[in-house]
Amino acid sequence: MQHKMRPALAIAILTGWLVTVTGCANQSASEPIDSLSHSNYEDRSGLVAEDSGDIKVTNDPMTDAVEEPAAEPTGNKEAQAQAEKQAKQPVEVKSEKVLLKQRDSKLLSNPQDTANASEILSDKAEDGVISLEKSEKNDAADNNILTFEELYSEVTVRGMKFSDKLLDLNDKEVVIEGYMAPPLGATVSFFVLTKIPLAICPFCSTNADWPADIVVINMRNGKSIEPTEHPLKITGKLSVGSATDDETGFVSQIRITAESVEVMK
Amino acid sequence: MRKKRAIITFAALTAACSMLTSAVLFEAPSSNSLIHAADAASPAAAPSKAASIYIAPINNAKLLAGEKFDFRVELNDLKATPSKVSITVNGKAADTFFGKSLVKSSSSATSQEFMIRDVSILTAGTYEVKVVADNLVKSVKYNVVLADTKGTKAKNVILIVGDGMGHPVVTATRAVSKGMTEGKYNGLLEMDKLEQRAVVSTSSMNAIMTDSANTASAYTTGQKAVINALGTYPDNNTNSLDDPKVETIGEIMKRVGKSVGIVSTSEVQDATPASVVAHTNKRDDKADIAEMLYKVQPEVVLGGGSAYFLPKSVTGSKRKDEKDIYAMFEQSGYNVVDNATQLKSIDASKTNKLLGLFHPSNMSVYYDRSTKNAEELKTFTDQPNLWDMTQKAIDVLKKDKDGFFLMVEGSSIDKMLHPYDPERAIYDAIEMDKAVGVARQFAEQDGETLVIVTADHAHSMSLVGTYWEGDGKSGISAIRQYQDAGFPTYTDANKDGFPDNPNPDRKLVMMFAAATDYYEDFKIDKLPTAPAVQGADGKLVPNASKLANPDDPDKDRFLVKGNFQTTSGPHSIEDVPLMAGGPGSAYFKGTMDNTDVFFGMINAMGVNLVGGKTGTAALSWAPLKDFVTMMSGQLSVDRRTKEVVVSLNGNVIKINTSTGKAVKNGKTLKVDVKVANGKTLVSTNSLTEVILGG
Repeated sequence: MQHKMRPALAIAILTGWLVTVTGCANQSASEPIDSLSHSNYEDRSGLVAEDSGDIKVTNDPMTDAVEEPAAEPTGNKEAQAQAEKQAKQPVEVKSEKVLLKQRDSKLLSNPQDTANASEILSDKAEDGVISLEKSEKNDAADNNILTFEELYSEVTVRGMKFSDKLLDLNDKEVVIEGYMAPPLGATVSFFVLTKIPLAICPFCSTNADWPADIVVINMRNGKSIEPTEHPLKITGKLSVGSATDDETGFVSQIRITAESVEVMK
Repeated sequence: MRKKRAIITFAALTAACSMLTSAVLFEAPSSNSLIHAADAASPAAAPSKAASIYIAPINNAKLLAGEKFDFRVELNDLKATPSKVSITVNGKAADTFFGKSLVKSSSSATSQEFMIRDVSILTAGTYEVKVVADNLVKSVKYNVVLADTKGTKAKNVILIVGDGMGHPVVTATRAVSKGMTEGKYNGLLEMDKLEQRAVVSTSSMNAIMTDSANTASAYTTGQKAVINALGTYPDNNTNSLDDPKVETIGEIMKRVGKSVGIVSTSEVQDATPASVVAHTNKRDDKADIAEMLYKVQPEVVLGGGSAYFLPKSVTGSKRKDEKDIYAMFEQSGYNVVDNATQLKSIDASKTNKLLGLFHPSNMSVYYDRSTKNAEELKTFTDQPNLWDMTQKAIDVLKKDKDGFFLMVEGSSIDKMLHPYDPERAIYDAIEMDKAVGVARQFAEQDGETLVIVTADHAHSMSLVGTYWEGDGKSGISAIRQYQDAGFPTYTDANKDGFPDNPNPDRKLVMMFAAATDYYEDFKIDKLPTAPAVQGADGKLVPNASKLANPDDPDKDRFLVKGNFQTTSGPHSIEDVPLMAGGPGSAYFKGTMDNTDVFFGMINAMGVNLVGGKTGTAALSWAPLKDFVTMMSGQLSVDRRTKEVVVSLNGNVIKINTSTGKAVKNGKTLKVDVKVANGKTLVSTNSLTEVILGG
């Protein structure tokens, strides 16, 4: 299995459970970041029935949650205003059942259709409950949107350099999309965000490295999320620079304390 | 491992035992604390294992006379401390036999260990090691051999390993690269043209299955190893770096005065290239393996893996310490290159040591390199190909009048078969075959070079037909078999050995016996792609990114239903091919165990480690002051004692440059040291083990 290190690299020196978490790192298995906006996974025909169990989504919590703002006040007034505006809009909730039906009837060949149905995990939601809201592009945070390509400005065999944009956004709220690297537990309060989906590969896991460009996501206040193969949109405060996690010994270069984690289906 | 070697000063038994001719006796501790401790540790213990004895090297080990190894005896799962332990070799006390003291340890409450580092057996013959610990008895036999000295000997050996290149890969490579007319191939691969063929069995010491570490280790040491291990036998503790080691071919070649080269498209710390120099139970000790490369100092090291050469403070480093391995190599006189252009500019006739790292991780695969696939290459757009690396390595190494050993690995045949990307795997196999061509060409001119091409293990890929959509069918139902298969239609107009188009209208079908559900549309993946990703509950979901059109509403016609829950196809157990040509190739024939490949090379070269001028490895020297400064330490001279005082990483090391005695943290150690042209030089061995080591 190819473990193509992304040129640049947040070091991922692994210890403890993170070693086991290491994906077989098909790190070279990349896919254009654009494709994240139209997930390849939403219309996985034949698998949707299994998928429906992936995320705790029911109609009830969704409707309960829609009256609430999507995100905790973050100091970003525009984002907050936008979130409130969204919350007040009539919400077209599409439940898993609807999705299933649509997938079955192959109505979802246009991935944009599914953008209407996404889930937002926010601090306002009840503990352990993931709220589902209508999601539109969060253009309030457009200036702070980071892509994996923008993390490093120089990548050579002799090392890498953080980009100016990344350094400028340090300690600020950012938005980034990616995939959750396969974690070990059933729920996680922190995980590694990768540009492309990683697969666990038991045979080469002893030989698997993290991609160069990874972002460690810490859930705010130790909130937890269930593993998902779907793309995620993370909003939260950025922290740049080498840091070692006390508990796991995991060395990271780029971290986000997540205010919200949106599962994009 | 080096740490432990440095502190072996346990000599309490030497005096008592050196005169004994029968057995080494160890008195039991007076208390029964051993059992109590075990009980306390696991009050509700599962049914305990029976007490057992483990001896390394293991039973039926074949050893080259003079080959160095660590001798270890373990008493495991003891229910009580044995009152008496006797360890003999052919009836002689082990420490008398080896001429060194056994070092006793206890790595757990229920175990005892006895170890002697760095021993060898100098006389060919059969040896029986017998261990008696009260009622426990175990004996193992070793077969110690001398290299065959008859016949024409090879001065040089080039060992080319196609990682994962089972028989089907060779056939597919020939079919795709050469094509076929009415059932006859239009040409043979370079590896096909080697005159000698054998099959090699690949199992590891602890399983019928195998990984690339223990298989490579079998080739480079002649010993079986456990999965993930390199140059070691396993032991009963969790430290991967202290396991009993066995000498590698890289170390042996250095001892007999030959040069050593390692060329790979993976990280140079990856299992196969690492096996030339490494001793670890865990192949992912890559930062340590980078230091092992430095210690052995192969004259040529070319591949990927620069992230382990960078100190931790450099962003992109995968080290956990501040060692600058690049600087260490540079200081030892290596020419260092970062890309293909620089490699090309190296004048091999004036270069004796060459380090080239072309990617922080594994190098990109040939398909992406050759198609300049920007999405995959990112900034690494100037990586050399394997045959140019091989040619440069040969050009540097061939200057050694004593000869050389060169390992070349086609790494990503395996790395692309794991995710069911047979097209990329075959392109890399063709690339490797072109490196075989370079080796063969040199061998033919040189006349003293043995070329061996083999694999370390297979994959479950099989060739089961052709794929053709010409009649409107597509997906799995468009696989054609028997007479409907016809012939694949790959073309090679520019005669470079690679097909002009990886997706001709009729393709070879390569399927996997052990796979998870995955999409196969018989078009090369845009990028190396995970075939399945883990969803919730650990369930695997096929990755539509493997399809040319991931949004195809009818994509399930491409869904291959698998029988495994693994996103990475496992290695398969079957024998692998071996081809050899040149002096000594006749040693490779019939059905061989993978450890026999080592002895084939030793016989071909007639390596003699006992008597004669060989026996001690030539040391590589580096200026101590430059080294210490580079590692941010300080060096001074004690005017009174004339000792050189090194302060580094919080340690103070005092070195007597005339006796080689060093004192570090109160411990007396031996350092290879000499003074030349007013500079204090220390061997690279001592730099890593004593100056840098814990």
